[in-house]
This record gives sequence, C-alpha cells and structure tokens, in this order.
Amino acid sequence: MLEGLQLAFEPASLIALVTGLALGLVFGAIPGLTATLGVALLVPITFIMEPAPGMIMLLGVYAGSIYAGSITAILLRIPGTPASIPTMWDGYALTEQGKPRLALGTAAVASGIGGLFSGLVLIFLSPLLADVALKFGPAEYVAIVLFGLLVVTAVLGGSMVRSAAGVFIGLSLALVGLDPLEGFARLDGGFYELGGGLEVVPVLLGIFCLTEAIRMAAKAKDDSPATGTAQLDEGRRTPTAKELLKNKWNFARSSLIGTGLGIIPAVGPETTPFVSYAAAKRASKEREKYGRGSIEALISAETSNNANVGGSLIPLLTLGIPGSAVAAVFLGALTLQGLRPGPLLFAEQPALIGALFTGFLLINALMLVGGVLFVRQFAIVLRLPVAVLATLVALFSILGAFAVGNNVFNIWVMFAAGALAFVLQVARIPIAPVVLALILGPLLETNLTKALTISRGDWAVFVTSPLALVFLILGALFLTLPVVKRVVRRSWTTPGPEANADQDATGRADARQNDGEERRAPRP
Amino acid sequence: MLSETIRYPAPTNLYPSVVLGATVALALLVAIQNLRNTETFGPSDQGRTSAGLRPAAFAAVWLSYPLVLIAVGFLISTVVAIGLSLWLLRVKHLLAYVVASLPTAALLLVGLQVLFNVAVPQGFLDLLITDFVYSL
Repeated sequence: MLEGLQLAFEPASLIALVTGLALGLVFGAIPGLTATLGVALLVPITFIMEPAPGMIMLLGVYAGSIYAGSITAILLRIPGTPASIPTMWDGYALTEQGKPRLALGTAAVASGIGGLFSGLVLIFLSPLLADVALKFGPAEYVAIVLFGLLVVTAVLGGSMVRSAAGVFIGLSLALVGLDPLEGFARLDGGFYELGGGLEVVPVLLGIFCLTEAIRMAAKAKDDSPATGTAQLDEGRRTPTAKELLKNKWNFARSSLIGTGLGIIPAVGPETTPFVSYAAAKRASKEREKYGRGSIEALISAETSNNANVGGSLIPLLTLGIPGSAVAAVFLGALTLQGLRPGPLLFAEQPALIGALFTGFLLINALMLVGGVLFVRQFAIVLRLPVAVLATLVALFSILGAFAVGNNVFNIWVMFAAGALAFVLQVARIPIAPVVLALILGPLLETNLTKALTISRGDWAVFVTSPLALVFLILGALFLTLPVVKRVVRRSWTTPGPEANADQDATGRADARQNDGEERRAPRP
Repeated sequence: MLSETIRYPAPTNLYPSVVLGATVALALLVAIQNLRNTETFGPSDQGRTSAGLRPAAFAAVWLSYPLVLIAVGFLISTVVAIGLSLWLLRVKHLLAYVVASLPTAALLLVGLQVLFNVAVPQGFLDLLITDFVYSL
C-alpha cells in the first residue's frame, strides 16, 4: 500500500490524474460525448504509459465525466448522462431561482463526498463485497430492475398511471431490435440500422438536448444571456455547515445506496440516483420542496451518482466482471497492459492496486475542491446569449448523435425521440420513466427469459430467492406506501359537516397541488 | 411491414405481448384522463412550448442540416446552419458570429476527424483541411 501511495504521488501520476479529470469534464459536459467514448479514446495513449499513471488517467476521465454530466444538467437542463436526470430536477430549479453557484457547489461537494466514501469502501471492503456481486443471478436481476422501475414510478409523485405509462412506453421502445433469445427482428420497421436496438445516446439527445435547444430558441430575445450576469457573481457557492450537518444521514444513505448498487454489474449507474432520490424524499420532512430546488434532493442524487463509480470498480477489479460499458473499456485497458483483473491482481500487483485506490481518492478530493473553486468558470456558459447557446446545443446534439455510430441514421432517431418527448409532454406523461425503462428494458427481458428457462417456466423462482424477494417487497412498499398513507389519513378524518367540508377542501387542495405540481414542474 | 415484424414465435412472445398490451392500455387510460380533464390537457409549461414561428423555423433549419451535411460536407453545411439559425433568432452582430463560426467549424472538423475518430461527411473544403492537418 505504501508503495502504491508513492506511485500515486509521482509527478507522472499526478499529471495523468489532472489531465484525465479535465478531459472527463469536457466529455461529460458536451452532449453526446460519453464517459465510454472518453475512456476508449484514451486507451491507446495509456498503452505507451506506465500502468499506474495510465489507469489513473482513465479513472479521472470516468469520474470526471460522471460529475460533469451534472454541470450541464444544472445550468442548461441537459443531463450529460441518464444518471444526471434527478440532479437536473432540483439543480435547474435552483438555477432558475438565481442560484446556479449554490447548485454547482452543492453538486461538487456531494459528488466529492460520495466518491470519497466509495473510494474508502473500495480500499477496505473490496474482496468482501465482491461476493455480493456473484450472488446476483437472472432472478435477482429481474427483481432489481423491477425495483428500479417501481421506484421511479413512485418517486415522481402526481399520477401513477402516467408514470406507469411512461415505464411501459420505455419498455416498448426497448423491444426494438433483435429478440435476445432467438435473434429475429422485431418492431424495426424494416430499418436494418435498428437491428441492434435503439441507441440510448441519440434518444437522450433528442429528448433532452433538442427539446431544450428549441425551448431556448423560443426564449431568445436580442442578445439576452441565459441568466442575469449578476447571478453568477452573487450568493454563496457551497451549502452551509448547518445544511451539511442536517444532511449527514442523507449523505450516508445516498453513499451506501450508490456504492451498493454500483457493486451489482449492469444495474447501478442509471438506477442509483433515482433510488437514492426516492429514499431521500421518503425520509424527508420537506418533501414538497423536492423538484423545486431542494438542496437535500440535489445532495441525494449527486452523492449516490459518484459513489456508484467506486462501487462499479469493485466487481471489475476483484472479479474481472465489467459492470458497465465504461468498465468494459477499462478492463480492455488493463488487459492491454498485461494485467488480468481478479483476485490474483491484488496478490501480484499490490503496488498498482494501491496506486489506483489512492488515485481514485485523490481524483474525488480534487473534484470536490476544484468543483467548488471553479463554479464561476463552469457557470460562464450562462453568460452566452440564449440564441448562441440554442444554436450550439442543436449543433452538438446532432454531432453527438452522429458520433455514436458514425451514421446519419442516429440523427433521425434523435429527431424522432425529440418528437416523442413533445407528444409525451402534451399528454403529461413524465419522461424520466421512459428513459430508465429504455435503458433497463433489455436487461429485464434477457434475465426474465433466462430465469424462466432455468426454472423451466416456474414463476416461483422470483420469490424463492431471498435477494429477489427483498427487492420485490421493497419495490412494492415504495409503490404502495403513499397510497396506504393517503387512505389511512382519510379514514382518520372525523366525519361531520365541518370535517367533511375540510376533507373536501383538503382533497381538492391536494388535487390542485398535484395538478399545480405537474404544471409547474413537468418532470423530464 | 410493421405487422410482419411484430409477429413473434410462440415461446418468446409473452414478454413483448405483455409490454405492448400494457402500453396500449395505459396510453388509452391517460388519453381518457386527459379528455375528461381538459383543463390539464395541453403543454404544461408556459415558457416551454412557445407557439411562435421562430422556434419552428429554427427546428426546420436543424432538421435539414443532416441532409445538407451529406450533400456538401461538414464545413459549409455547419457554417450555413449556424448563420441561418442565428439570423432567425435575431442575434446582434450576426456577421461577426458567422465569420467566427468558420474557424470554429474548422476546429470542430479537425477535432472530430483527428482526435475523436468521428468520420463526418466531407466536402471539398473539408478534405483540403483534413489533408493539410495530416500532412503536418
């Protein structure tokens, strides 16, 4: 470990760390450029570097791009990654209230704390937690995906029917492409480009970036900037010590959720912030502030986001199981260096592992400090005239969609997704469940088929596995508790003319509130 | 075409059938809710969907950009799209922006082609710049 510390603090490693982090920020902030693309592009460069600085640079890109996704989400209502969607709800609301500095600073602090927590877990509990990842079979995957979808349905508030409709629209979109079991084409409309299914990045760009560009175009007046220039110089940029202390359990819970779900391959990155957001909202005394610029909500989403990065490294390094596309590329980079992730790596290369772990902690510490210090520089984008911003967002969205597969077809997919977003908005169907279901759909279908094949069609497989059962019960509780609470509250109200009048008024007020909530803050 | 591609062999048709069936049912339910409560039907955020012509024209410019991109290459199509879009949005100092967009597009082209390995469609000017960069 001491040798690892020395390796991590060598000038070459520190330069690689800063370079990786800076590149990650660029990749995360530009719509369409993903963490996977960033890491993949740098793999050939790491081949000519020493293993420790090379891998630290890739870690910097990974962590930096996940954090940077929140910068555009907060400033422009464009989530850099699907994991930044919950960040966008409250972060952008704070920007609209004239507090972009506070939103960015809070996101940096929360990201740093979440990342540091997962880094410590990575150092001290890796081998222990790696066993958990191995306990997840098809039935458990089905349960955890259903849990994620139930949580997102419950967390949005408002009409559950609309949220459920969003989930099923997303699952339907995920059906496009080849059947995972028998490989025949379905719902592809004859377009061979859809054989591999809908690419998520163009869909996200269409739903979030294109619609935002058009919204900005509608708002553009003369050369007016996106926000008042004074707002960027005024107000605090970090939460107060009192606010941080008030959120101590929020930090702990979100870090645990982030790291815990990160350990489970393929599920974590997108689901994590939604689960964390839902858990925080459930535990909060100020639920009504969620979605309207709540610091607490922002902390829950961002802490879990970056805690997930460290969690996802546990199965990768200890078992050689890549949990996400980025992790798979990272695995390739390690292999290129002649290293084979798994238990032997810890025994054969303790110095390298020590350097990687130390580097990961340093990256998160630097992200925390740098994120707070450079808030003003990040927010400078808001000084641009809205017209210029709209043009740039439209241009980068199209180029980002093209870059995914080097083909124009993805640009049309992006436009179609933009049109779908408009239709959903008119129909008042929230977009977040659509996106999450689109991402998790293939995982659900593949594992459902696998689980039923293994159990020879016996559906009891989902309740006989304790892990699966726990996730299904938790999901059901998330979904039903608000309804049960409402019913209990109503049954406790004393009957009588006055009480009835009150109840009626409350009921109507609730309805108005829900309606108003939907009107004021249309969730993505 | 759709009816052909929507058929599934018996063993694997359960999941897609359930998903599509539920989607249709829930969409109908939402539609009925919207029709019953016409107050809540329609775009929700006042600022979000302006019925103006400018955003529509702006969208049209960027919708046609991929077609022009294939026909004339990255540099010219990008400069034209940026110029048109800024003109539509009535930005001040339009000429300055358009002039600035030329080196910006050239830099983007080099960045995409050389650094990110993104092979954007190239016209005469694009090929000239790319060849020059590689010759360096």
